[in-house]
Amino acid sequence: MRKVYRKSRRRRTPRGNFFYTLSMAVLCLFLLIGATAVISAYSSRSMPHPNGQPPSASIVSQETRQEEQPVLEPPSQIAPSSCSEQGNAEFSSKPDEAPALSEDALDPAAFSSRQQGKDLKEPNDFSAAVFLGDSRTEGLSLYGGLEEATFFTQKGMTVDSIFTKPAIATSAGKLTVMQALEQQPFEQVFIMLGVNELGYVYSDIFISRYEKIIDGIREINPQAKIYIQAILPVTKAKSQKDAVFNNRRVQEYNALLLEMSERKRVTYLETDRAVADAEGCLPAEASSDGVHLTAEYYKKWGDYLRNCPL
Amino acid sequence: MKKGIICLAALFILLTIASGCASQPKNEPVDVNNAVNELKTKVPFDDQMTEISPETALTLYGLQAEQVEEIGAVLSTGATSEEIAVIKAADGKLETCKQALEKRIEEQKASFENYVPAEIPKLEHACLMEKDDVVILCVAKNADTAKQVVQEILGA
Repeated sequence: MRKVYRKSRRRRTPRGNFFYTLSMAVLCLFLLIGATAVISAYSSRSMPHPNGQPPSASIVSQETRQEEQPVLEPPSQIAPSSCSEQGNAEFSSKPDEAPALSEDALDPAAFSSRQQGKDLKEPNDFSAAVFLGDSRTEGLSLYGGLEEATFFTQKGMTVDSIFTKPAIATSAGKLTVMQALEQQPFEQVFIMLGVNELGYVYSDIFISRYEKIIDGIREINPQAKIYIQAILPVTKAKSQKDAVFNNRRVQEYNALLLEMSERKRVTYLETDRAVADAEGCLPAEASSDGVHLTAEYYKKWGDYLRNCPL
Repeated sequence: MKKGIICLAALFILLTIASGCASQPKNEPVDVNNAVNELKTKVPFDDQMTEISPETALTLYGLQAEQVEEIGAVLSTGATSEEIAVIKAADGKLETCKQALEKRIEEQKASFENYVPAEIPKLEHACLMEKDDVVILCVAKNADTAKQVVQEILGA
């Protein structure tokens, strides 16, 4: 008779049952963890943006500003102590509101009445033009749409530092603005200075030094046409709380610049009108700190220059 | 039962190996536009940031078109030193591009030193990293966040 061998079965002891169950549970747990890791690792590589499209940078930045509302200090060189050579500060410490502009002042036709030049048929070309100015003019170079122009700009530039501070990178190294102009062929020079000098005690010193800039340019190139751009306004909020950066001072300086332009026989451009609202202020949405413009408003400034009679 | 246990153990080992492979750094090339967008959206900025044209960016950083394969840059209004630059360099020009960005940081420090001194810490902690043929600059108020996002973009 054939013997049938049956596979012997060992019966587990109670302790053996326990360890068996425990090991199976641990194994299942490890399997679950491993599966979860695989799923999360592969899904993170292909996860789309939660809103489908990334929000624009301006919206992100505005949300950040609304939460934190950083307050930027004015440039240190225009603090009253920097003007001590000119005497004590005599202007009122109470910030004033700028007087509202009259309807006539906002009439575009009024622009041409103060400007020389022909009837505009084509947009202006700036390939032979040089723009001189501070950080606002730097913004114009980036966002204004005047790519063919040359820009000699420096953050915090003043009617003094334009002669003294080597800030313009050239093939000959860092030069002052006036030195750089000697290296650069140009037919037109556009100047915007003054926002960093709003704290000057004596505005006639600002004008006299501005006149020296005009004289210096004429020495370099007597044939060049010189354009004096009106100082752009600041926002109403900035104007109301700042004893220096306020639109009363801006308009006071612009009036002096207009007189100087007529005296020196250069052209005065009402660039402030290109960005100001009905109250003569920079709109709130046009600036993050009340002074510097957003890209949109630099473009408005650039468009004004592109299309105004020169 | 033993066979079942052996099969489960083998499956566990396979899953562990697979998850390890999945979590390794990606080796996909960096897309400049995507990198700029990621930095704009994931890094918080104080100022309003606007992208400039590639031609303006080349002029700003003193680079020639033949030195750069692709470039993207986002700048502030001028009120702050915040900035984003992503450059995919042409062959052999990565060091040139990196030096251009380093020079930009130094120039900004000189500009803001007496203008808005509060911006200097952002420049001193500027994130400047490169991998393969891409170099990225990010100047923001939160340097750690900027660095983290740049590392994610570069897969570093």
